[in-house]
Amino acid sequence: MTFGEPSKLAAVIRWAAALGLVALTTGDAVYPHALGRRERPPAPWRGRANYPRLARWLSELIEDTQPTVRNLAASVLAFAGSSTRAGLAILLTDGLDPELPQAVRVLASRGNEVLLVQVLTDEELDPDLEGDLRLIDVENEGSVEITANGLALREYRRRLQAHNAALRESVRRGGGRTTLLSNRDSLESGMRGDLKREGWLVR
Amino acid sequence: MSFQNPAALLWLLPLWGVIIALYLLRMRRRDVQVPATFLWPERVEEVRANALFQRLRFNWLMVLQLLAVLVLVVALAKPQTRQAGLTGDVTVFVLDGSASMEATDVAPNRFAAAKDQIRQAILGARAGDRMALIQAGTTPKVLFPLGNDPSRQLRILDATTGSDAEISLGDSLRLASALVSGLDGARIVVLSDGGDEKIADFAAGKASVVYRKIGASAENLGITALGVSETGRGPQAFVAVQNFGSRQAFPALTLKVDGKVLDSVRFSLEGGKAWARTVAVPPEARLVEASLDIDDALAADNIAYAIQDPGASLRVLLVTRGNLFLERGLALDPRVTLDKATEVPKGEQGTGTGTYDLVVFDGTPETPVKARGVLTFGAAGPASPVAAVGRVERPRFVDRAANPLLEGVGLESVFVERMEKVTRRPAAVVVAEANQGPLVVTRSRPVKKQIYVAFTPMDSDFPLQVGFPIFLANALDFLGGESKGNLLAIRPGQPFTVPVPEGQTAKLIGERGTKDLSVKSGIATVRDVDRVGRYRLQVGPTEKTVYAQLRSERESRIRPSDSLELQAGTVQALNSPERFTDFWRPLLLICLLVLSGEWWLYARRS
Repeated sequence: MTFGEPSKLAAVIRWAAALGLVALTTGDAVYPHALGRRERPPAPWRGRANYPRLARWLSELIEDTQPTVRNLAASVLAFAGSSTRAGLAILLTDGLDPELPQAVRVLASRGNEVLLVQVLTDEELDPDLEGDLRLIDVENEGSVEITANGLALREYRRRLQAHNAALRESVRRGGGRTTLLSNRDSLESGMRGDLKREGWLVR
Repeated sequence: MSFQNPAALLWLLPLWGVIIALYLLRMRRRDVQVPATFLWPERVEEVRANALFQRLRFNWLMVLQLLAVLVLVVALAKPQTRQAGLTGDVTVFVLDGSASMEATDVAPNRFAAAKDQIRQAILGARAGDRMALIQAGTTPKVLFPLGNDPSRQLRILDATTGSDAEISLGDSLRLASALVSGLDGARIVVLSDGGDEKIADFAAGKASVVYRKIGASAENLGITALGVSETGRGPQAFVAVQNFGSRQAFPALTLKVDGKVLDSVRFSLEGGKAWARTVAVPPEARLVEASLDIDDALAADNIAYAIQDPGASLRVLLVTRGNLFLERGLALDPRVTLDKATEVPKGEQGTGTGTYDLVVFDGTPETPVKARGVLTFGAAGPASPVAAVGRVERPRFVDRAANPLLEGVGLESVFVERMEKVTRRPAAVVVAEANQGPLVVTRSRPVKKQIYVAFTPMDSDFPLQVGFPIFLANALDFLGGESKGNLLAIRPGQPFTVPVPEGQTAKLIGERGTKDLSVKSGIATVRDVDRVGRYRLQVGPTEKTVYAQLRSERESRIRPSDSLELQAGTVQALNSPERFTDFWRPLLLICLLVLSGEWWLYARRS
């Protein structure tokens, strides 16, 4: 999630702060949960007065340089298996885990309404690579050797679309909604554009 | 298939090894961090290799590169295939134009059959083939030079005619060699019925010689001798006929004297045998004509002429170590039958009746000979009209007598480097004199006439002067006796000269029409008598009759030879000659196409 400029993590924290403020303002309880982190999540917050705690917690996530202890899908499955009350689960992530669609289905099957906010960088949506490369996964250190030519890039885009489609389908089957945002999208344009178009916001 | 340069194939394995080794090298790849790798296909195109070794993987680029190298190496080895064909990339045809090629044992005759083979070769020539045609005649003629213009070549070929001349292939082969001996893959194709002569001073160089035998049969009869000689019972004509074939023949021989039949006889002649007959002829006879009535392959040797005029025909012996000017100058006279020797044969020495009418000493001391005329250049002997006393340098012409010998000859402009200083013997007449002694001296006795010239032609520029052939003709008139009649007997194809007085024209009239002769410096050269028969030579108001006759055993012996004897060895006749066709050019094109495909694939994958 540290990939991109600004990083995808910074983008999802911004969105988490915005959506958390909306939830706190409307009187909902907000259960913060950072996927892949060793620390226990804090207790749920209610009321607008707790927004500073939410904001502090989110800012600590940015400054936390500890590596994640498990991958995304495993973290979602762990969250689904936790004792947290079922409700509206807003998943803010880049979604780049091949097991995530399955994990989302499990999460939905626990009675959660899943709202997936997928944030990707422009480089991920349309990579600008060329030549003979060794691609190193920044999260799990895995690598793959490629010759970044037209064929390889076409194949990448096809696979990304297929993966996103599988993710959307998993969310949709569980009665949830998804949106795909860029790390460069501002909150205002995101709110008025994507979220409104997807029916997340009424007004 | 074979290779002209098989050693080039040795490059194949090293080059393949280099290419495969490059593909065994592992790619050094640039590390790039990405958020997830599962979306990327493991697509590795080894278009470059520059690091550690790895397992060899199948790669279309490598296959195409190996294929390109294979095609290139095979092309460099110059592959070639054998194909039936008379010609090569560069071909010189030597077409035998001798009398024997007029034999009709192959239809319509050997010469036409040889032309037909050349025509087929021209029509079947490839785009880059170059051809030349030399007709072997008395002097070789380049009918068309090396080139690739089939329509023009066919036009010239169709206009080419044979002759009844006795010729040697040597000069033509040497000319062909001069044209192509330096060219790789060149071919000299000889279309001939061969002969028993060995061709010396010939080297084909890089060219190969292909002998195409023309002709099938040896069956031919010919008149091999006809002459008139004085005997105790008066003039007798001697005629000989030979059967050169193997089958018995029944020819009829007719002898005519001045156009009237003197004798006619039919006889039987076995194969390989000769028949001779002696018949008395009237003392006043001028022309004896013998004709053979037989349906054989060669007609040119079935007729012969003998002219009963001492000056009409001269047998001349040239004693020399080599002098082309004298040789050509004497041969140009239509009366002369020339032989060469470095010394006088024993049978011709002394006194009595010999074979030769005249003997010419060129720088060789004159010795007593049986001939009735002697011409000596630059070396007086005991029998000469002068006695040598020494040698002098660069004499200067002083005076000349009014003598027919020097008529039309300008000695004033002749430069002489050195000459023999001589004194005149009794009965000798000084015709021309230099400041240091006699220059030209003559002596006439009842049985012998002599001319002495104090310098040799090679010690002067006399042979380069217009007066040289005129002097020779005057000398022959003086020594041999001027022809009283107006008859000439020559060999077909033999060029000869006739003097043409100023302001007059000369023309030759034969069965094939009339030809005006060009006159230069008062001399007309006749080159067009190439067929046996009777011609009329008109010079101004006078007319001479020219009889061309073959009388050559070499040409009458028409059995086609199975081989050509060259200096370098024997060339066997080939019934189905082959040519090598190389195809490295299309291979090179294929190589370029493969490389283009490889480049296209490389660009697409990169």
